[in-house]
Amino acid sequence: MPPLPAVRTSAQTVVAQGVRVEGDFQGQGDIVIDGEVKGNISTNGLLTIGTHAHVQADVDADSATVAGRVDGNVNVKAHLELKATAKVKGDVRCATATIESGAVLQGTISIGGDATTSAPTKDESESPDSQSDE
Amino acid sequence: MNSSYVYIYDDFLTDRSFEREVAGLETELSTLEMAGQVGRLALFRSARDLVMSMVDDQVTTVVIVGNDSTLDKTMWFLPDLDVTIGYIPVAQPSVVAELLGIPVGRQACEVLAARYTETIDMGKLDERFFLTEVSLPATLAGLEVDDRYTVSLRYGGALSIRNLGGLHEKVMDPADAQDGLLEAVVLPEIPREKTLLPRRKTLADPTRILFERGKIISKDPVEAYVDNHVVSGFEFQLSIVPGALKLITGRGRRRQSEQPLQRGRKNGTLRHARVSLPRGKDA
Repeated sequence: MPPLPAVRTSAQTVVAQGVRVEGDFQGQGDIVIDGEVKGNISTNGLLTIGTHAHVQADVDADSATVAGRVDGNVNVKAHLELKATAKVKGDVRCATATIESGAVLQGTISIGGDATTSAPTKDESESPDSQSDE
Repeated sequence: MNSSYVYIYDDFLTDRSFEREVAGLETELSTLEMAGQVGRLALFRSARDLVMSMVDDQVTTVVIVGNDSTLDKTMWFLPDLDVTIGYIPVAQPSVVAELLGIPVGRQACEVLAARYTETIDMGKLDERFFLTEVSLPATLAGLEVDDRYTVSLRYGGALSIRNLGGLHEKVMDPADAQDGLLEAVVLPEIPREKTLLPRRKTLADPTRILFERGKIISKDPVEAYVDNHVVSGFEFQLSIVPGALKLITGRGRRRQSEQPLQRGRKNGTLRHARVSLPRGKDA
């Protein structure tokens, strides 16, 4: 008998291209989104928003990587990474952030434990020329 | 004869072409001192009534002998019994045997003798138990999860709700039947640009969502394959019953859980593993 494939053990949720999710979307592990989500997203793991994704939702995650479009507030406990293709329309809060050149952010950004509406510092942002209306 | 074992034979085993195979199995079981009472399924005989009439206080193990279709005929009520379930596959299709790490034929007796028992979850579609999956191959039906959100396909596609997993286009796709969760796998279709090719194509990356309770909903009546048994309707309730079944599994299944996860797709989704299935005689 041939060896069998590994059984998936980590709780990973994937919303791929061509699929639409509406409502209060909660996950216990890592979530990958490359489709459409409308409502709220929350997870205690890593949230990855891919280049094809269109998220019209408030986002709550432990850490996040955004490469697609987000219309809503983003609240990340630990690290947030905005890729060059990211387009975020909403307020962002996180502990630390990496913002690539070309990322678009329309809203306020708060970085650090008790940050309010300050712009990212040079140490926290890898790219000072990222577009932000703040 | 060992009174703690009961064997349920599928009716196709009465065919002369299986005579030698069945005789070999019975010899092997006698050698292992596991030969027990035999009940035979028949076209106009209720599988449930047959099994219920054979299971008494002394019986600890019910062994299904046949193929995956034999399991389909019995799995929907077996979790109601306080017994351990064994499976001896003797013919194709034997996808479930693959998933359970059980070899086809006489070698399965060794798995039975080793008696490595796992407690696994059973899925429920309305009031019917299912072991492997519920599948809607081409549908516009959506999925409502835990009364919290809905998952819909923009242009249609395939929807599967997996417990143990299944075989899809010759690719084995197992799921974790011990996590207390069902796994929804959605393969959406998207329209092609103007070309001479077929108008729609299936995307390579599936959507995967883990959940406990859900509902398949459709505006039009749809057919759902539940462990290869077909049901139709507009709405199906889905749930999981954790640890519902004690099942004897093989070494192949233990190897699966020891292997590292196969990752490698660009977005972190898990890569399907290709498994070549043994060729054999169809039932």
